[in-house]
Amino acid sequence: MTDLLEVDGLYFNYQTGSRRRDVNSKWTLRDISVTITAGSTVGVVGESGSGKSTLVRLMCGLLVSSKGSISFDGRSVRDWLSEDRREFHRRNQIVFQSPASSLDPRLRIKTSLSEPTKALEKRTPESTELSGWLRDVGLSGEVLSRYPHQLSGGQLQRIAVARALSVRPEVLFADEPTSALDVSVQAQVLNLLMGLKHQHGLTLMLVSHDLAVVARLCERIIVLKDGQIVEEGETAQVMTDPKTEYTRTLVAASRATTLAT
Amino acid sequence: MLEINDLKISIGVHQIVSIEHLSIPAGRRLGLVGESGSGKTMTAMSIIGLLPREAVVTGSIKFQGVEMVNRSERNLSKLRGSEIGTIFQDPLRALNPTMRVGKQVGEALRLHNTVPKKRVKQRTIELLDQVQLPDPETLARRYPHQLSGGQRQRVLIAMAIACDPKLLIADEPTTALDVTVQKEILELLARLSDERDMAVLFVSHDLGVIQAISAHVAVLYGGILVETGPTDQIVRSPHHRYTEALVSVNPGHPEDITAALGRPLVTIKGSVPPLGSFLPGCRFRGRCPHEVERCAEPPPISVATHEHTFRCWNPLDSASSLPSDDAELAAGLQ
Amino acid sequence: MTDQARSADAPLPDNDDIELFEITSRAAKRRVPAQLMIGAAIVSMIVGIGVVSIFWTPYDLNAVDVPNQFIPPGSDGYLLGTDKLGRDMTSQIMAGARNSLLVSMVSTVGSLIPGVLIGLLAAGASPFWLRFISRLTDIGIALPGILVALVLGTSLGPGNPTAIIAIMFWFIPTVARVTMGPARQILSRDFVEAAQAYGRPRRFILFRHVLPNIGPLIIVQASVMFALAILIEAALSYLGIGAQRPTPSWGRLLKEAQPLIDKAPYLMIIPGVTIMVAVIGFNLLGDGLRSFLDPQQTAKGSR
Repeated sequence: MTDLLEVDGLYFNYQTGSRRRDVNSKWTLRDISVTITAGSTVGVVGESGSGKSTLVRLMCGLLVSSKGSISFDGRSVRDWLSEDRREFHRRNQIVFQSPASSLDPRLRIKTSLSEPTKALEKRTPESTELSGWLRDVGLSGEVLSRYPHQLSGGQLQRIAVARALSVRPEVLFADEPTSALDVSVQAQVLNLLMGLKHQHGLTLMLVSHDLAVVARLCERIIVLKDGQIVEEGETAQVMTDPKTEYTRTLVAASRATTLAT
Repeated sequence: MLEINDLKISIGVHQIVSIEHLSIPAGRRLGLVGESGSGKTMTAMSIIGLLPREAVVTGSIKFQGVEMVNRSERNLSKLRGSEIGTIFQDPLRALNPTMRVGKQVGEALRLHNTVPKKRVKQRTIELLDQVQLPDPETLARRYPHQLSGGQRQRVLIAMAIACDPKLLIADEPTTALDVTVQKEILELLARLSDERDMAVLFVSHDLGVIQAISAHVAVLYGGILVETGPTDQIVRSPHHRYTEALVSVNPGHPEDITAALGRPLVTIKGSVPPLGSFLPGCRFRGRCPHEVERCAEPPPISVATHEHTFRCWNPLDSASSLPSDDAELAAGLQ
Repeated sequence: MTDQARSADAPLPDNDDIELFEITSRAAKRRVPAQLMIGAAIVSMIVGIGVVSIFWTPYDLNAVDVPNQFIPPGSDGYLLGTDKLGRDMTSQIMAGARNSLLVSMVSTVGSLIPGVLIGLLAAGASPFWLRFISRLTDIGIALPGILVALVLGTSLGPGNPTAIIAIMFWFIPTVARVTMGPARQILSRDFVEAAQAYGRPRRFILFRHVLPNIGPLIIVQASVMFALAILIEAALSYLGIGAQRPTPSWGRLLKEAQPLIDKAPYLMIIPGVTIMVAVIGFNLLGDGLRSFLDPQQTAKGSR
C-alpha cells in the first residue's frame, strides 16, 4: 500500500493582504501531518473553524501554503502545480457541499459535465461518454440538456460527482458532500460514493461534521480542532474509545442527536 | 391548546398541505418531521399566518380556542411574539445586524407591552441569562456579527420567549449549528419548555434531532400526515412504510461500526415527485416497496395504540393494526 | 437506483422555502412589468424619431428664416413653432434626438467596456489590488462630474467628443464599482472553485463564468446609465461644452432659449419637456428590466 498523499508540518493562514504580519494572527491550520495510503477512505471531522475545509483545499491544490509540505505521489504539490498542473488536477478531484452552487447556473449540464475534459484533456467528450458518466451515477442522459435550476439537489450532487470522476482521478476529495441533502437523498449519494470507490479504486477523503456519515464510509478518522489534529486512528476505535476529551465530547454530542432505534 | 382540523394549503392549482387533524396539548413538544417538499415549514408558518400572498388556506387552526385561519393581520401580529414565539434556522438573517442584541431583545419586550419601560433592561439581562449566555450585561451590548452561531440562536430564543408564549414554533433551529452546540440548544429548549409549560412545535428534516427533543412526532410526506405518535414508539416500531424508510435510511450510530463500514445504506427508491404529479391515493405510491392494489385509494386513519396513528393500507406491523372502520373511535383516540 | 429525470417544472427541493419562490416567481415572471412596457414605448418613439431625422425633417434644421421668427407652436406648417432666427423647432427637436442617442450610446458603451473590465479584474485580483482599485474608484465617484466636464471642456474645446469623454470619466468608476461586488460574490461560489480544481486559469473563470452571471446586472446598469447620459449631455450642452451649431442638441436649445424666456417661453418648454420625457422613458425601461430580470421579485408577504 503506497503512501499517496503526505502532509508534513503544514501551516496555513489566509492572507489578509496586509503587509504587516500580525504576530497574533491566527493560523487556520497548525502543524498538520497526515499520510493517506492509496485506496483508503479517510474522514476528516471537526466543527466550524476547525480548518477541515481548508485542509482539503490545500491538498487538492486550490490553496497553496508557504510553510510545511504536501506531496502527492512522491512530488510536492507546489512542484506539481508549477510543472505539471494539468496532470495533478486530473488525478485529484473534488466535490463540494452545495449542489446548487457547484454548477454554473448559466450552463447546461452537458456543458458543465464536459468542462474538466476540455480543460485537462484538451478535448471535447463524445455524447456517449457523457451518457456513460451519468449512467455511472444513476442518472439518465435526459438531464444533459437541462439547466441546474431544473434539477433536484440529489441530481445536482450526482452530476457534480460525475463531473469530478470524468477525468478518472485517483483521489476524490469530498467537502461535506451530503450536508445540504435530505437524509433519504444522502443515503443515495453515500451509496453512490461507496460504489464508485470500489468501481474505480478511488482514494477518498471525506470532510464532514456528521460523525454518523463518516463512520459509514471511512476506515480512518482524523479529528480537527482549531486547526490542529487532536486525534486520529481507526474509525471504530476513535468512535468507541476516544482518547481525548474533545473527541469524547464530539462523539457524545453526535450520539445524542443521532437517531437511536 | 393548538388544534388543527382539515387544514388545506394551496398555491395556484397545487394543494401543498392537507392535514386532517393535528393537535398540541399545552406543554407538549411535538416534532414535525419531513423532507424537502413535505410542506412542514408551510404548515408551521400557517399557524401564525406567515405564508406567501399566493397561498390559500382553508380549514381550522384553533389556538387556545381562537380561530387563526384568515385572521386579520392586526390580530395575528398581536399574537406573534407574545403568545406564539418563533425561531428560525439562520439566526444571522433573523437578527438586525445594525442593532445591539440587547436592544433587539428589549424591542420584543416593548412591542407587546408586557413589561414597564424601566424594567426592560433588567428583564433583558434576565432573559439572556436564562438562555445560558455568559456575562449577559456585556453580551447585550454586542452586535450579532460579534457572536457565534450558537450565541445568536440563544439570543433569538430569548427574544422568542421574552413574552412567555404558550407555543414556540422552531423551524430547523439547529440545522446550521455545530453538533456540540446543537446538543446544548436542544437541551436548553427542552428545559425552557418544561420550566414554562411551553409547547414546542419543532420542525426538522432530522429525525435524530427530533427524537432528542420531542416526545411526540408527526411525520409529513407530500403534505399529508402519514404517522403520528410518541417518538420512541414510532422510531422503534414504525407502521407507515415511509416512516419505516425514513428510519432505515438514517445512518445512525450502528452498534458494530466495523461491520457496518462500507455496507450500503437502505435507500428509498426514486425521489419526491414534483408538485401536482403525485399518483392518486396514497402519496407514497411509486416509491413504496410494499405497495398493494388498495393503495390507489387514499388510506384512512388507522390506530396502532392510543396516540399512535397512521395511514397505510399495508403497514409494517399488520397484525396489531388494521385500518379502522370505526372512524369515531379513531378520531376519539387522537 | 435510477433517478427519474424530472420534468421542467420540478423545482430544487433543497427546502420548502425555495420551492415556494419557484412557484410564485414563475407566476410573477409571466407578467411583464408596466414600467418596462411604458419605458420601451417611449424609448422606441424617441429612437424612431431620431432615425427618421437622419433622412427627413420638415425643414432644414439650420435654415435661417428671419421673417418667420417666433412663430408659436401649433401654427400652420410649424408644429412646434420657430426660434428667434426662424429655424423650425420640430426639425431641431427631431435631430436633437439623434444627437442625444448617439452621444449616450457611445459614452455608455464606451464606459461599460473599460468599467466592467476593471471591475472584473479587480474582483479576481489579490486583496491588495482589490483595495487599491476600490480606493481609485472611490475617488472617481467622489469627483463631481460636472466640474470634471468643465475642465475637459476648457482644455479640449466644446463639442460632442468632449461631452462623450466627460461622461465616460463620470461613468467608468461607477461601472467598475458596481461590477466588483457581484463579481466577488460569484467568485465565492463553488462552481468557480470547481473550475479551478480542473485547472481553468483565472482569466477564463472571470470571462467565461463570472461575466455571464453578472450579465443581467450589467444590462440593467447600462439602461440606467443611458438615461443619465442623455441628461448629462443636455446639461453639458446647456453649459456650452456640448455640441455646437450646426450639430443639433436639446441642451443647447435650452441655453439659447434662456434669454428669451419672457418673450417666447415655448422655446424653453419644448426642449425641456422633451429631455424630461426621454430621461423618464429610459429610466422606466431600466427599472422595468430590473424587475423583469430579478427572480426574487415576489417577496414573502403575510396573509
